[in-house]
Amino acid sequence: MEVNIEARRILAVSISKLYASRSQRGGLRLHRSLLLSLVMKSARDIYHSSRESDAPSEAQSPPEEPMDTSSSPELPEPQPEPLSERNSSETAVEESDSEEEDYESDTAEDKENLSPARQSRKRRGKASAAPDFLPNKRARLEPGEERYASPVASCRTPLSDLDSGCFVVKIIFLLLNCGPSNVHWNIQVIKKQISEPATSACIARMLRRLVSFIHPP
Amino acid sequence: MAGPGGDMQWCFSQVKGAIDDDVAEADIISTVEFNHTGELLATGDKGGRVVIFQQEIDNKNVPQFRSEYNVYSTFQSHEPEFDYLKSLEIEEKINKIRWLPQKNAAQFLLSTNDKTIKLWKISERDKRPEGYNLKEEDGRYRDPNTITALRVPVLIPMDLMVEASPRRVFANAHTYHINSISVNSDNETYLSADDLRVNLWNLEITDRSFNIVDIKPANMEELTEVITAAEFHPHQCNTFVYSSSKGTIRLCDMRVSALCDKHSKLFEEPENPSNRSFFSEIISSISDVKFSHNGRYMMTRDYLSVKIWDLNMESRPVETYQVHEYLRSKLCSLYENDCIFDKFECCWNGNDSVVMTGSYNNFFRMFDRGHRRDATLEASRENSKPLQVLKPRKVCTGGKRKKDEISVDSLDFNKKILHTAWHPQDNIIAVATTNNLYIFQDKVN
Repeated sequence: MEVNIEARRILAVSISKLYASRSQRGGLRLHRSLLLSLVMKSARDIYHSSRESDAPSEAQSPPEEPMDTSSSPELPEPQPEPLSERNSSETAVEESDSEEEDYESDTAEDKENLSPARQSRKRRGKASAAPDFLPNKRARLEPGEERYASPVASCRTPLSDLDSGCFVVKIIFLLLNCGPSNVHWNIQVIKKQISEPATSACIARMLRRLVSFIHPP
Repeated sequence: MAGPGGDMQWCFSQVKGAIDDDVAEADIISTVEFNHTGELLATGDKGGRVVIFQQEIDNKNVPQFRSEYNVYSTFQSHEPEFDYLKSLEIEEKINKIRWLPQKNAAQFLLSTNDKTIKLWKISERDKRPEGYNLKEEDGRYRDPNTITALRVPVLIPMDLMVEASPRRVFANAHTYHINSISVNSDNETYLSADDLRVNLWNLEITDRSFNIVDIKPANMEELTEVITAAEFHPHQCNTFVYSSSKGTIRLCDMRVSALCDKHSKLFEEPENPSNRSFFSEIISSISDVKFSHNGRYMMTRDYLSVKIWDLNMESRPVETYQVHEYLRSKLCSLYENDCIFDKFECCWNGNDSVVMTGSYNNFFRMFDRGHRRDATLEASRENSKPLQVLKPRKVCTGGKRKKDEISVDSLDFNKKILHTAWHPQDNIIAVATTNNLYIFQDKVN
């Protein structure tokens, strides 16, 4: 359990460093971003494995329990998840690098218009292809605006995770992709996707905690 | 390192830089380098300036004062720039300075920031022409009609003026941040390395360079390591090494193929599983690699240690020196305060018998390879009386702290020595604290 707490703490520290490095003079440093993402990956893996080993004892606690995937058949199958989990740490590097590279991600599939029936979510081999749990770069809204025809693949993905730790990491990357003004939008969009009010409140709470960590009042 | 009668002792010689505790960011020293004779000592700072110190000639033969260096030239090498395409500011901080071997009266050095390398010519002017026919002494043109006789201009002595002029600008070859430059022993080419690529340049040609190493993966999400340092072999002009963030060093031979992605040798030490932690990857990242002067060995610096490798043995280093092992249990705090990302450099002495590197609290460490001895010394204003002998320092790692020892928790992690240099032929060292340059010499009996 203490390892779990330590892992979460290191994860939180890493995230704030990654976020702070965006405004560094000279731009994002690839080496530093890579090292941060490696630490985050270690911390997340340890958090993940300690959560799994604690899972039987936590079967009764509803607030932290992630949504059951069987209740939402339109969600994509979980097997792409290990790929995206493994790569989520590299996405930090990829995200930082994509700011330095020419923008190629806009040539990737238009995630907004994906039909729910389309199951293939294999990661494209493009150098800067955005991971599928991040919104398309074009899909930015003004603060306060809400999206009704939401990106099917992107925001649904975190909710199919069985582990809230991984979900937290993915949301963090989602947050990192947006400036402070867009954070509120993200909470609203995600809340809309969730059908169960209890989980929605829990996730919103977690997001608020994360936001307050990254942007202290 | 041991002279007749025991360990070498070091004396304070000079300190350069402001005395204020308030350090201006632009004054932070970012690189230190002696030239090939040791007569000149160059420093670069975060503000993009290069300051060159020259050894005082009159004192060269007076042993106690031979390490007196005075300012020779100061110039602005790089300015802040803005990359409009990527909306990124390019810092003017000088990452590396490398001297070219002297070929004529002028001195040449390469200085680089994150994106651009410049070749600077530093020349002396101690005469000026006088007696022009068409110009007055103040430079105004004379009316040709007033000239009645011709004279030959003569050169008259003047006060020494040192001029620095940029002779070449090598730009637009690096997408990522340049971390190293290294002049080849052929004196015609040099390499520059960024996070993912190494480029080969000709010193005369600025509009093109050859890419000789490219470790960028097709899919950036698969990126696992970056290049952290690169250097040419001191004698073999076809050989160079580059180190990675994973703790490996690759030696490449340019004769094998045009693109040196396939290494000729891979130097890697298997990780000790008992030392595994969250931060294992960070502390194994190599921050500096330096060939020995004789070309038989190379030295690497990672966060906690210095390793000497025999170029003929790839499986493990021949020597490992712990710089500050007491920090291993503090890695989490060092991660939080960002110190774990500090990139320490290392250097050899002239005959490759001693290596030196920096640490925290303005401590620096020397390891005598032959005599298996090491020393911890401190660069501080308190020990800066002329010719004052430096007292060895000791960090208390646990238990009862002895007198004169300092405990790990009292170390000042804001005072770090990242850059050090050793005179190529003499026991004179230059040690850079945050914004001061300390010069020490060995004690003369």
